[in-house]
Amino acid sequence: MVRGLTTRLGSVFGWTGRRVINSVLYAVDLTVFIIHVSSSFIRHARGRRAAFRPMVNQVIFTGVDALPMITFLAMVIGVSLIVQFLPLAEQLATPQDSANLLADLVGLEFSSVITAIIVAGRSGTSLAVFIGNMRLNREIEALEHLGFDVNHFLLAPPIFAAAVAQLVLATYFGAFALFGGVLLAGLFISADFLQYLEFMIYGFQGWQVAGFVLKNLIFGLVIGGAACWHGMKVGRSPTELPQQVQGAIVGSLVLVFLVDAAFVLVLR
Amino acid sequence: MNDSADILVAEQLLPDHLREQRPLDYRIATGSITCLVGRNFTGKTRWLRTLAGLDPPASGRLEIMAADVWALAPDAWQRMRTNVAFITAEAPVISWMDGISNVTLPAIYHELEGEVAARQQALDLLAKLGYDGALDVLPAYLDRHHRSLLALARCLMLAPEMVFIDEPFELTDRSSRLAMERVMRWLAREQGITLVTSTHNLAFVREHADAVLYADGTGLYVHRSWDDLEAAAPAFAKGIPDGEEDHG
Repeated sequence: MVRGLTTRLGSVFGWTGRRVINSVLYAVDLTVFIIHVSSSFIRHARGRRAAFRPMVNQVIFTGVDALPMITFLAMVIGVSLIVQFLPLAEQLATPQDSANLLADLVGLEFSSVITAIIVAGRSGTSLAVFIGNMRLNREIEALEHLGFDVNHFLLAPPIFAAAVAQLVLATYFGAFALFGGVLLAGLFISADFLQYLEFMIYGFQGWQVAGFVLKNLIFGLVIGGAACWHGMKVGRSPTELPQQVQGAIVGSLVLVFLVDAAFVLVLR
Repeated sequence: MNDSADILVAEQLLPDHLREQRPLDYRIATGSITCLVGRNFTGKTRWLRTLAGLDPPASGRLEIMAADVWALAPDAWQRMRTNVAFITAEAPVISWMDGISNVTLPAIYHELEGEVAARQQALDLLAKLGYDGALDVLPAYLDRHHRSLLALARCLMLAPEMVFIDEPFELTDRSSRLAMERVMRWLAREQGITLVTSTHNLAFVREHADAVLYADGTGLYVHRSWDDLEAAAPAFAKGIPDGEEDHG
């Protein structure tokens, strides 16, 4: 009986250990892939013009087209949090402390994570399908036969575009959620909320903003990188496509949360 | 020793997945038409890919345009691909670009031409190939013959010296096959491009091939003429289905 229990406990630890090792290896492999793709882009001076157009298109798709959804979500989440949070915080802290806390939570934390979820769900899926379909149809192989560096022409532009779009959208989300939320709450619920507008402007520290920029660039690289990496793993069978798309989204979101946790630990 | 008239030299070449077959010693003369023939599942496509320097061989040496292909650095291998084109049987073109953009893309990527000049060059080339399909639609809306011509034109934009084509006549009707035959003749005889193709179109082989490589599942055998092949593999040359030779 004791031996059975030990075996079962051992298998639980073994399973946990394997999962942890696999997750670490996944993160390492993805990082190596992103570095490899980036170095290809930097190394090749030739063909940048041809690669630039897909990058602009990707920024438009990932960033500009997502603006209405981001605006709506930012307003809803901003108003909802501010209306619940500020009256409670006022009883415990000064208005400046409450504004700092709100700027921290909504402006720097929620904005990054919620935007990452939207970018992964919207652009990550479509990018993985796009690359995966090109693999299935052997279009990527045909490009290689024409002397194209696929990393440089096809993969680097959407990865960099995802990083830029994630940063811009998260900034936009944070600004809209905080200032738009306070403004709406002030207009429709109580004018007292408007006093927080000024406090919030002074609620951000320089190092916090630098951390926000770096974190969101990494989020974008992870989302774009995972989508391209999984898309490139599609072989000859169409059944591989949904599997890899799922892997791209789950993998990128898990990494986004881990990176976020790491930033919280480091920046505190 | 490489004869300067030979654009490709294979010495004891053996494809990676056909290790049980006989290695090949062969030279391809510049400007010639070489056809790979044989029944299905005899490894024609693997031989073609290995000869084109796309798949690393199990053994042997491959020299294309006086360069030892598998001794090239990755960047040099990539540069070589602009001189040695390969079109797979599916002839895939980029699905998210319209016809004309597909053709101009390689010239723009490799910065051989500006966009306007590349477009004009592409239009001239497509006219020479007899392309009569739409240019402003996505490839999914074109038929197979037109997609094949776009894939071919895309390669020719780089002015390659050698073109490998896998099954160029597959799944097309008679008029498309004749049009493709005309194009291939034009490429080799008028443009001086060395052509290596894997095909089941024996009429084309009989009429135009300068050399025939016959795959029978044990290796790739060189025949300098159609008559030579006919003597060596009469049932295949007469188009008799596999296993029915005795019932002739």
